[in-house]
Amino acid sequence: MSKITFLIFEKSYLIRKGIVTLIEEFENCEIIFEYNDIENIHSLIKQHKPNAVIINLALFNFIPINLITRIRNELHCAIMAIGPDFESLKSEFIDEYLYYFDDKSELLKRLKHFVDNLKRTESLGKNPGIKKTDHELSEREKGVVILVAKGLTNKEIADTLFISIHTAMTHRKNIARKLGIKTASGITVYAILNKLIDMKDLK
Amino acid sequence: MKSTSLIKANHALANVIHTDFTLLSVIKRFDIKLGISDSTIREICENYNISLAFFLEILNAYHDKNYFATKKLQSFSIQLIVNFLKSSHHYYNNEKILSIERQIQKLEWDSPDHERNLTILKKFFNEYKNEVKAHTGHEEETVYPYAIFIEESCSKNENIEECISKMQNYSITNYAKEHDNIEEKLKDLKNIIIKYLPPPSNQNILYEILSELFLLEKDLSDHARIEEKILVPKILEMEEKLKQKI
Ligand SMILES: [Fe+2]
Ligand SMILES: [Fe+2]
Repeated sequence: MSKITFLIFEKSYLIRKGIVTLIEEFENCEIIFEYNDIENIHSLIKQHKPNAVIINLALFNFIPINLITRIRNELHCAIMAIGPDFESLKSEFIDEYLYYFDDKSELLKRLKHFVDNLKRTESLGKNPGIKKTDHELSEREKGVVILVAKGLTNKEIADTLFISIHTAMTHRKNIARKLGIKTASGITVYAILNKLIDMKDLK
Repeated sequence: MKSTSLIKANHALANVIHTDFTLLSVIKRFDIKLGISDSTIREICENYNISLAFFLEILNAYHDKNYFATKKLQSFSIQLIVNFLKSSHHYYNNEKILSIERQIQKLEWDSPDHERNLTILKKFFNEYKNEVKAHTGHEEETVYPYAIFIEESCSKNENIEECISKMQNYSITNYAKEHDNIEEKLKDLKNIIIKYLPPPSNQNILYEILSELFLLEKDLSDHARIEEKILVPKILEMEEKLKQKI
């Protein structure tokens, strides 16, 4: 079964870590990234394709409505909000809430409800015979792996592939996440073992 | 004893070991011999002439990663911390890493890829070995001597001028900022072994290597925490005191 993935948008470090701890209690759930502001929220969701975002109400209120509808309808991303318990703050675009002063069992109950729903939609939307291989590298990423193994820096990779340094770094991040390998030396070992590059090509 | 509760002077060391066996490598660094019956930590420290406050601080820091040094006046010296950190460096460089390296050399594959697999692993691990050596070497040559000099000057109230000029060049804040994480490559190696390395014919050795890597990683991150959460704040406090003296 594929994982349910989350992006978290929350200013407060303490609250963010609290959410992470709660999510860790659930099987098959993964937090892809945590952010402390909502800059680029749309492109981040587009890029990481999470099943849901968990976002502080105060941040949520800054997102224009047309963006919210795009996030929900085009990117099929569910929204869970964190905030104080005020009826008046409820929004039709939010699927579930976590309140600051809920006790742990209440928080878990709400999260479980949310996660169960996500799992249901996830399994409905997918052909059950095909496993989602989120960890497989794209062709572009394989290309980047080869260049890293050859000893190129991010800047050199960007120049070689005619991409921005920012994009090159995003590739590196995604490669690290997919492979569980961060360092250039580690990526080199991976490239050799998978015959993406030959020993004699090493510098 | 709850799994992350505080370790105290009146606890039997034997029970502490049962609760968290990863402390064994630390206890060993204090040269404590086993066969300790039900002796408490306090008794053992008296026997071995070890600073009780310091031993407890180290045990707790290794046992609970959320443990922070107590704010109460710590009765042990920088020299003690530095000696412990150095003996840990020795343990990594001259025991752990060498033994993992020897294990790696024993790996065998029944395939034409044997040579390739072995060479690339050895190369990677050798790079790691050098990285750890450079990191610990820098600390022993630059950081620790500086820390000891600051402590001595602070306690004897001398060399104030020299301290201040040293601080302007390199203070403990620089160290705290630059202190990098030497576990990154180790994490990569774990994943390479778990996920990508073709299985060798002597699997058992690979399992042993993997367990060793997990233990080493924990030890290194606890070690770094002692540097950052115990050594740095103490020196920082002394630097402040020295600054007020001029
Ligand atoms: Fe160190
Ligand atoms: Fe260090």
